[in-house]
Amino acid sequence: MAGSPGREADGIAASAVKALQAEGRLPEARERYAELVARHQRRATRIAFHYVRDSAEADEAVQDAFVKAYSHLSTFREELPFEVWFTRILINGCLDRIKARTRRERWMTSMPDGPGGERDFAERTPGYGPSPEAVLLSRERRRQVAEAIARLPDRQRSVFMLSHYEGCTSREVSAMTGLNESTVRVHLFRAIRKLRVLLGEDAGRAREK
Amino acid sequence: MNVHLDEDVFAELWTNAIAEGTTVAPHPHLQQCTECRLRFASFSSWLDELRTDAIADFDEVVPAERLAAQRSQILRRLETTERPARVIAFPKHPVESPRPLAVRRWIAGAAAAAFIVGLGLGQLLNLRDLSSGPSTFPADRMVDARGTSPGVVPALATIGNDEEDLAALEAASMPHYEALRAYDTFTPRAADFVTSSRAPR
Repeated sequence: MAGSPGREADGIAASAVKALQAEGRLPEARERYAELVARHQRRATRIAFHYVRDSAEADEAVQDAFVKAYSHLSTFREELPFEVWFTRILINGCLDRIKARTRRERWMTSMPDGPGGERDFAERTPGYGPSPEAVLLSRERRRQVAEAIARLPDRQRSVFMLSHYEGCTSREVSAMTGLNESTVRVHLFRAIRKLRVLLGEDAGRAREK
Repeated sequence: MNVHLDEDVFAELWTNAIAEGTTVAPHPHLQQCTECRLRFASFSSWLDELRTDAIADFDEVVPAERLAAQRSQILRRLETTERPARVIAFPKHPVESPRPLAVRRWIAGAAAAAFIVGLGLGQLLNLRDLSSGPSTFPADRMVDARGTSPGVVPALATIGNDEEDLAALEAASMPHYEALRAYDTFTPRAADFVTSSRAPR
């Protein structure tokens, strides 16, 4: 993400939307904002999905974040990249959702995975190219990775995800999460080490079987 | 002695590279030691696989069509937020707009005046009715001074004194069921009290 060519375009688009909003040319502002949505939507959904681990909830979180960013675009300052500013809004929204879900789950019993669940959707998706065995192995490995990442402490997981998956620098992660830059590095280092141990254990167990 | 690098060093090298958003800085030992270089390459590919797997996992769960639907939903919501809030009429059918204050005052004043005039006229007409001629009220509906209507309760009207009245009332309130008669005999009667109060002490 650091130094990406789209960053400058983002800044220009965000400033243009801000100006159009101020002039009251709202349809044009929306049209211009749609560019930003198209550019960041995938990445945003991925981040939200890794936070909330539920595609429907991630979808809602992303929608809310884009709507919120649009209505508060007047508070956006150009010195900060748009994606950093927006990701911070998104992460805060995801954290709120996780908190709300934790509160809800205290009073609700969990349902077993039924039809329509995430895994079911993934299983229903037809494969192209690789053999069923390769698909199965790959899926199994991905499941192990997802489990290992889920076992990381919250901050380590966020930092690892933003840094490694989304390619954010420690400075950007610091701006997004509100953590100190050196703390971001420490979390990243610990996350890598812990994942190595967790996935090493899994690999060992698989070999024993 | 050639000491090999452990995985913590690899993790540190990667941490620095990721944190800075650059490539991994060359470590002097890696340039010399083939074994460590191979181990580091394996470590790097493991990290790369993690990212690839995470993205593949996401792509499987959130396909492109779903993202397109999400985008259109976002744009719809943006449009909605800009529109002024819709006011739902309650009650559903429009109510006539309230009249101006002056008109309302006139209406209230006229109503009050009509009420007062009505009262006055009512009083006048009533007095006139009383003062003029015999009553047209039917005789069988008239009530005498004792509050009894001869047409309604002829039997009670003929009773001469209180004791007879009480006796008649008690007789009327006697239970009709045989089983309750025994209880009734235990119950003191009003006539007994009247008698005992009159008896010389």
